Amino acid sequence: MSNSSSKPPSAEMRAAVDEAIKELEKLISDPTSIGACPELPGIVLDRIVGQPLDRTSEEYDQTTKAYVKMRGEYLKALALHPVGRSLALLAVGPDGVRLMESGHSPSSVINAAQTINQPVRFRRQHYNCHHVIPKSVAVAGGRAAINHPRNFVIANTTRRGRDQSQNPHHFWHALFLHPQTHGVVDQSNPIYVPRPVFPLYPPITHGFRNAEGLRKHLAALGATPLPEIWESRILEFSKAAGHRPYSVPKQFHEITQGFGELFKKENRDPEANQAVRDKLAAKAETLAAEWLPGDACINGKTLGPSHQPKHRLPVVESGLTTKPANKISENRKRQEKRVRPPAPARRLQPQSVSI
Amino acid sequence: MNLNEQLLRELSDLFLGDLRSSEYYRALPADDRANLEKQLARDAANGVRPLVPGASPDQIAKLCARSEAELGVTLPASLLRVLTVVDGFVENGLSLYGVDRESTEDETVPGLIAQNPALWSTFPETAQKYLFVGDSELWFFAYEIPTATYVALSRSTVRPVHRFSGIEALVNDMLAQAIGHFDDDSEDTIGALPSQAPKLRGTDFSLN
Repeated sequence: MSNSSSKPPSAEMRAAVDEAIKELEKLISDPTSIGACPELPGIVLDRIVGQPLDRTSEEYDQTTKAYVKMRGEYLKALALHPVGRSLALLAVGPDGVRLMESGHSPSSVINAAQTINQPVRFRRQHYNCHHVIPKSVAVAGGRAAINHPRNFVIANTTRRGRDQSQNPHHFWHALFLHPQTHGVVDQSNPIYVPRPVFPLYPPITHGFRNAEGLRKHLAALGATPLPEIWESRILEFSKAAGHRPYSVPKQFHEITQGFGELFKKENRDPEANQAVRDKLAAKAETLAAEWLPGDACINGKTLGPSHQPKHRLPVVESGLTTKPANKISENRKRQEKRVRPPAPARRLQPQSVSI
Repeated sequence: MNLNEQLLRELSDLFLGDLRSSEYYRALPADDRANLEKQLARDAANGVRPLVPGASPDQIAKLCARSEAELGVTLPASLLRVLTVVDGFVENGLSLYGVDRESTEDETVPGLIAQNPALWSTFPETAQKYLFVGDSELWFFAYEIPTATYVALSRSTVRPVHRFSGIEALVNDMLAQAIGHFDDDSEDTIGALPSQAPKLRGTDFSLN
């Protein structure tokens, strides 16, 4: 096993990351669309046509294996990309970027809990890398793009008790992906995939009211200034989130609390158990329908042409499933062992700069 | 099979390194930093792996009671045994759930009681069939209640892709993935659903 920090990402991966950033830049032309639905700022619905893969299929197996091998290199390449690095510093901070440089998922220490007569524990903000178009979905001609930086997002997955407010990926899965991919067999359907217009989500940890404040913050982090297109997106996101750290809307992250009674011990017999599942599925269907257009399928049923969603997110057909210009070879070395990250060469400024 | 003590120590060392190189640590006033170091040293002297402690008997008892009351699930003894050694961890996209903290305490790892209703409501077909014990970017790790076995579920399809020989094998595999101990021969374990976990160095399931 070698020290992963010593091995830089390949030119192939760096080119693929650059392609991904450029594709994101083309995804929306009007930055104000970022605030179309403040519940989901910076999210567009990417309409693809596909069908869930059989989990035992060769394609699913290959996609999974290839992803595992490339993920670490992708994280390193994103941390090295001029725009990617600045966006990563904004989203996951210097601690997170150091981990990305070593090919590991970013996290950052929030505090160390020291309770009397209890061992010390530390609390961190965690981020995971996820596929935007799920790897379990087969898209015509799209296999080369499933495991490509164009289809990855690094999303906050921090959970505190039943509070899923810092776990947008769970929210996307619950609201959009599972209802559309569950119960569908042997049939291609439109699938609306929530796609962030940023490579990391949420893209900021606190608000920026103007470009000057954003630039000042980036300079304090030792980051290069962002191109105007990204500055505008960050500022629009901040505005949509009320210039505060983004939280998944309360009505969604507290959804499980309403189900407290369902899981009582008396619901353990098979009949009651099935009733619990049916009730949960019905609730999920209702919520998903509030966001999805009429040609979307929920639990195998098309909503229908007369259906009008209550919330209207921008819909795109990104074409990101077509063959990427910089294809990632699937014959890669697996992820490497992490070593302790080196301390930063210089002391970074605290993040609480006046903005 | 036992939990891999070496991997647990390595994880503890990595966490200490992360803590000491963090912005948070370096911004601590000197006295607070010294106090924190003193407590970490005290934990080590008490035989606790710093930042990767096990749960206390009191915490385990409360967890069992809450599981019965809130999930309607009796926690398996094998899971409780492991939680006394390692009360959850989160690293490199992997989370082993731990004992839920009191409402007045900061939660440092996802709590078992909190995570299960959240996942059951997202994947209704899993409600009270699987007790989720952890997750990663690719998999959910769960106790399959009807068969009393530990499985890895595809994160996309929420269907089993691997059956572990026991919880220790599952947690050792998660530790290996979290730290990055990988074996080039260990990748061909999914697709079928082997009842017997293959014996591989470092990990017996994960692809990486």
